[in-house]
Amino acid sequence: MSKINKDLKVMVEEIKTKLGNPPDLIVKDLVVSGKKVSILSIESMSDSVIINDFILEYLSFDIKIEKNNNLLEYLYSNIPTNKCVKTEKIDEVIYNLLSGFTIVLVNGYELALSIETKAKINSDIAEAINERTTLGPNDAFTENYQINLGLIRKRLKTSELKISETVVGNKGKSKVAVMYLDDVADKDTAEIIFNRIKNIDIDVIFDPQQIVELISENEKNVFPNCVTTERPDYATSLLLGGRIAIVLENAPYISVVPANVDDFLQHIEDRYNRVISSSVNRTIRFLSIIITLLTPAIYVAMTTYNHESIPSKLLVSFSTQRSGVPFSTIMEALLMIMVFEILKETDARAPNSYSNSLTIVGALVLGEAAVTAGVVSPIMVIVSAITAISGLIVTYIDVVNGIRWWRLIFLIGAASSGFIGIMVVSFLFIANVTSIKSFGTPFMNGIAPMKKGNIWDSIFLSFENKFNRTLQKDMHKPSNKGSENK
Amino acid sequence: MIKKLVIFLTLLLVTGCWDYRELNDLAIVGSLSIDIVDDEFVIAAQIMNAKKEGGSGNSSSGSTSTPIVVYKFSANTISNTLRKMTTESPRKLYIGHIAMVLISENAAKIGFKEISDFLLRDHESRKQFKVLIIKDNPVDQALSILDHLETLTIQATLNSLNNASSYYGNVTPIGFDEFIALGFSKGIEGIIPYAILEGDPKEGEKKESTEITIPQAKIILKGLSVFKDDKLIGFLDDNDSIGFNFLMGNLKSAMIPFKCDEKNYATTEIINYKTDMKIEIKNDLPVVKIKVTGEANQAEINCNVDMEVIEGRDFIMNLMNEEIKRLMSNSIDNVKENFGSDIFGFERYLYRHNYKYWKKVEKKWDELFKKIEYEIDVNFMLAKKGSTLDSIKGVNNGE
Repeated sequence: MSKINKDLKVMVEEIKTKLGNPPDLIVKDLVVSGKKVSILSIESMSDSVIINDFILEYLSFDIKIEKNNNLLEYLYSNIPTNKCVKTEKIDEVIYNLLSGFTIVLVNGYELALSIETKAKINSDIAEAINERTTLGPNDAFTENYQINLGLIRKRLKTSELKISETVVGNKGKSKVAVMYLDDVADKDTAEIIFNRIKNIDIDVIFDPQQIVELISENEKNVFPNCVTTERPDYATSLLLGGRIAIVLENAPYISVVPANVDDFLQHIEDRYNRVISSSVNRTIRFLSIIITLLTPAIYVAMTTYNHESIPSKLLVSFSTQRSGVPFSTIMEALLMIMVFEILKETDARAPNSYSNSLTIVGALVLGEAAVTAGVVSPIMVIVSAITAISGLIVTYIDVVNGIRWWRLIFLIGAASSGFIGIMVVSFLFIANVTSIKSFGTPFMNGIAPMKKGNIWDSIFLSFENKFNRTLQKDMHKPSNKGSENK
Repeated sequence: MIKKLVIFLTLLLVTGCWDYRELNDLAIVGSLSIDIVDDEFVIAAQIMNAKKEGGSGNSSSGSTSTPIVVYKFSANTISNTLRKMTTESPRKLYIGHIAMVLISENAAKIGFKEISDFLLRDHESRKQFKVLIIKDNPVDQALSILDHLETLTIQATLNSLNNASSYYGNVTPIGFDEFIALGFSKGIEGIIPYAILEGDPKEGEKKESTEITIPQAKIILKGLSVFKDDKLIGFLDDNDSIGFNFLMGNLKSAMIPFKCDEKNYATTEIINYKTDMKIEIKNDLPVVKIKVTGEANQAEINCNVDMEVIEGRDFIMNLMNEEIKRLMSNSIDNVKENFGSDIFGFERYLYRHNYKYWKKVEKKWDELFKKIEYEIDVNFMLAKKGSTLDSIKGVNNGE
């Protein structure tokens, strides 16, 4: 453990390099009683009012001490604060600094003073609305850039957390920070991302997803190549897995790249719940994805081509329900899916006060009236309802919409040649998802290319894997460095 | 992009190309009956009525038409007859969901060669559907009867076949594919369960007949019919069928009644058992050795037997063993003397276990089978006595 250097300049430089010269580190040099004094604080973590009103104001008084007296001791006992600690080791100084303390260094002393000036960054933090959990922290990112940085800093009080900052937008000039953990993330990728962000030529930018879209190359794909979250705990756990976070000023979401299919099937709450329950939840989520992709297609294939695959009693029941319906099964399916999509879109856009009337109209029109009028068969209502409900189990709207495309393609396959069509589309689907790359890392990493144990872990969570950091670390290192796809 | 979109949308409209059929354009056939009259096939098809009645989706409640429709036609071939039905039916017949095929006694006597080809060749039909012979009555009448408990008559017959096989033992469900495998393979002959029609079939067709508590017409499973090659040659009664199933290990559970004194009966229930068959050669003649071991429950007893002591239980078990032995030997005697059809598969056993001997007797097996000797050893254990000890009737009569 290195101790504090007597030379003030060397000391400040050392702290700066250790922290990776972060943009939010403030260093102020003063002269007190004839001696050089440096004051260090992290802007996002400390309260500038306290620093101004108490520390700086006190130090700017004309402090008179006798020559023999120790300035550091004098400050230690006289500075107006509730908590003042003397520290010897640099690591302690850095820890205190990152926790929101203000560090006072005096030239010629092997001691530092840590004065408590923590900012109340919890005060105006809202609850996570879109990614709710029942257990675990519930704070969410806000529109305040410094608070967002602080929310992650709060959870990662380590000098390994590196932040590089730049400004994007010719007119907007929003701050953008690229964050990663030095020891787990791939620095080359981080650098490439940072450089690309620097080179973005745009007037104003509002959301980190826009940044990701501007700097990535697979914009033609329906599945997202970043994880956008409002939860600091989730962002932190992704950073721990070697990902790179992009924080944008004035945006209450942050984007984390590269994205992996597991990120959308798993949920941060899996790590808070009991292992066995989490595994069940993951299985349900996995099944739901398959259900929402395939249910309409399988129903259409079974009822129009492959009648032999339905049990006899069910066939009679289906046939009874179909009788009198004027549309062909595929038209019926498209109609119902379309109505649901309209309802979903309206519900998402309409003001809250209209949502009740939407629910009533939706339930009555979709469920009751359409069947009674004989426009659609009851079983089709069930099929579309199951599809819709399982489709919403994933919280990421980009994934939901991506699945919507594939559901339609599966449906067309089923409508044109039954189960054979579904098979053909399955090949296309698998070929597509396995070929997606997100910033050099395959989207299906762990499954394709397969890594031993990872497939199991992506559905069944084991106790070892729940707290295992190295597993995630291996998983998200790009498989081929320097690839053109980055 | 627009070009691709147009191609995509066109795909949606060309759904009528290949093998595409909407469910409500199909007449789902639950069962077929096959008869041969004057060298022509007479086929009746039982079609599940999938019409929506009134506003509700449930066809059975408040419906006005019968749950099944029967079409009957005749022609030179089965496939042609089925196509001919479209002249009457508004929907195309779909035979992928046939649960059972009923075959008339007459057609079965003419032989399965005559009727099997279409059922095997057609890609739509499953081959696992069960077959049933209808004795005496015209077979299409059996299709037209309505059932009280099940909406579909054929489902009722199928359930009855399965239940009788599991709990009574006089029938064994035989799938079409199984029968083809048995009837056309060497060393074993086929069997098919048979049923008779009781009551007035004309009344049983009417919907009102299900509004009377006593069924006006019913299909009753009687036992097994014996085949030689592909032709029906005779019928086994209840007891012989149970004996046959016992011997073949087809029985799952059965009640065995027997006399325990001059006029009173006792019954035991078979829980589990194992039949071992061996054929030994003595003096150049085959001797079948059958060994049955198992467990039984005391189901009913009406004689004065002390069930608390081991002698009493042994007494009952001995009587039961004798009875089972009698059932089996009657069955074998009856089959070998009256039909001469090796439905037990003795020849197949020899073929598999003693090929040299089989090769020697292959040509004259039919005669040999008629004279075949057998030894039966039955050894059951009484597993449970039931909830009471002594018989109420037996004890009170004895005092």
